[in-house]
Amino acid sequence: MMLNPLSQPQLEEIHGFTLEILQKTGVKFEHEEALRILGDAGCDVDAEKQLVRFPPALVEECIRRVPSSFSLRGVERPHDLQLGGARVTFSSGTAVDILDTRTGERRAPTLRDALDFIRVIDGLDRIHHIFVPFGVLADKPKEVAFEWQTALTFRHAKKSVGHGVAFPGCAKWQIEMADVVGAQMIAGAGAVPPLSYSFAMADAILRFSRTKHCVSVSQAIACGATGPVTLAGTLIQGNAEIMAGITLSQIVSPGNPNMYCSYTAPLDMRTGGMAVGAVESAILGAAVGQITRFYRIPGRTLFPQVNAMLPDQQSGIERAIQLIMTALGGISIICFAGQIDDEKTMCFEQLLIDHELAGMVARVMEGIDFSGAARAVDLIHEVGPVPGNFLVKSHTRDNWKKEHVLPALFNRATFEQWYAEGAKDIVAVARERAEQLLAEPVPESRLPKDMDDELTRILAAVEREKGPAG
Amino acid sequence: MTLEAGTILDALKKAVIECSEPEAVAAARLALESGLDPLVAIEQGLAVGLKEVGEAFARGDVFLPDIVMSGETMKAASAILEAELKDRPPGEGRRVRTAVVGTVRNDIHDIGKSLVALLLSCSGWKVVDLGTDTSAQQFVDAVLVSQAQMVGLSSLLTTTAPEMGRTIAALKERGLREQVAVMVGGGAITQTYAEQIGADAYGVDASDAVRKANILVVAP
Repeated sequence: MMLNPLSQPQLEEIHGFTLEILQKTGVKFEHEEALRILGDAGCDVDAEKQLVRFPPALVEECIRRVPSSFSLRGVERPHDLQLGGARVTFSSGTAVDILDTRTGERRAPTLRDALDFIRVIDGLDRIHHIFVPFGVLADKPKEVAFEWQTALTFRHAKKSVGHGVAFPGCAKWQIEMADVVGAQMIAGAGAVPPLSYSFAMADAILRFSRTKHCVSVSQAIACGATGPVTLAGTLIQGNAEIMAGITLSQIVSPGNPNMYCSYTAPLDMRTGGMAVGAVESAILGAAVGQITRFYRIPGRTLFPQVNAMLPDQQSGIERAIQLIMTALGGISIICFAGQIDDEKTMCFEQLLIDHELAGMVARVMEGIDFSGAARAVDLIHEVGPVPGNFLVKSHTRDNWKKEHVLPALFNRATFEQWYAEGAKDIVAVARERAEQLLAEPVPESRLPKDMDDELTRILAAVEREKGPAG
Repeated sequence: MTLEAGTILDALKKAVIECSEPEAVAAARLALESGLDPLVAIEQGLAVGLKEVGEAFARGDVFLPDIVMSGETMKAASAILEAELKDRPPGEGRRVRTAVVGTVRNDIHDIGKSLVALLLSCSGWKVVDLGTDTSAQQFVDAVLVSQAQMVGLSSLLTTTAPEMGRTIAALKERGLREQVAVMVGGGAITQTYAEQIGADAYGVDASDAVRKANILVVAP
């Protein structure tokens, strides 16, 4: 099942206006080498203004070079990540703080919290990919938090294709670690709207593209502040920003995997804050998905996100609407599970509820099987009017698991059963499940000793170079 | 005050409230032609209008695009009036509060900081916007040059938040910490963090930042 909020002529207009913006106004790159590379490839470069104007033919050629589907190597082969095509996959999210399951407090996370998230996510079969869970750790120097968590993911997770980050000084170490374990990363690098790339982002595009990691190029417009307030204008400007980054990536590494990533929400006109939980983000999610299908470039979103502070009804409604719309748009990987309050808090209860939601949405995407066996016309003739009973037919037993998804967490009991079991709401049920999972013993590193030692050596080198926290 | 002066001041105020740049510019020219003191035209005309818009914004009756456009309208009319104030001796010009704002080193996130800058301008501040990826030294230099009463530091990234502490330390080292209030904000920042690094205030969002700035540094 797919959702198409845009018409074919509208998609073509988005493409046409994108080429016009890239050629006429251009995009700023605060990176000398990127300017030189783009100039050599035929762009009109104003070195003083750091402004690049793109010939339409070059942009179109680079878009054609992006593979429409690809597989990224995981640490363990069966967990390679297939991206592109009709299948939607889900990833965990990332945040600053943790909502402590045991105390209910919101606090700074530790390395142990990061490990707990990684091992719990690794055990959830409807979440396919692990994001570096936290921005900073309370018990590690701030400058090395990403490298420590990258190492933890490689050591403890089966399904870890790493996540690269475009922060200064991070990329080179993450690439070294990925080389040790033989995994490919999805490296996020985004335009700074409107129509600019900072040094760090341009540098990440060059570095990760050259080392054959997947570069996910994102737009992160705040509608009404860093882009037009209108959804159509946001889609057009965002498309121009992404295509400028993809062009740079494909010039330095033709045919290398790229993803088309959206990270866009309206500005709340009362406060100036980001209305990440807004329903407009859901419409944009569907439209961006459709655009990625138009270009045959696998799509990624760092949405759904919510403005809710707790895994409550607001959180459930904000994320469910965005998730279903984004998935139906045709996005290939949706990074969201476990995060609440914008990208500020990770929450185990939410993670387990999101696991449930991912299962429901994956089922929606499968749509309706209309094959002969599924139409079951012969069976309808056979069973006929009342007192016919389909439950006693082998067709039911053979097909129900293909047609129905069972909840992993949600309640379908009667009132009496539910009351007898403590009358718990779903957050309390999720909390109990989280406590069970967290009580399980922490596994040792899954890596062979030589690889593990190599990661230890790299972490020591990172700490030597970056020094203690300032 | 003559009746005519009252009418012109009302026109300036109304133009700001209604975001009408042509009317504000026309009223500013009329003010100069009729010999109204430009400083009075700004402070008792344009600024009164902007203050009303600010109060309506705080009540939730108008929204960011309204207050921003009112600010732009005031800027256009002020430019005409201020040109006449250039030759006045120091101390007789317009007295305004000055804020230096910027996103800290290695961080290129712009939205929150720019909104704070806009809203501060609307609230009557002179704003020196240093942009993004701003070093502690650049903040110190800007405070020295502008004689600002407030510094606003923004950081979205957790990796760059420690730069805020470094900037506060640099202000201390240059003996400037007593003369400026320091406000911090951004995605990676919390009230606790602001207190830890010795900031005077934490702005939750742009409106909150301006509300707190106006308490920290009272208008002259």
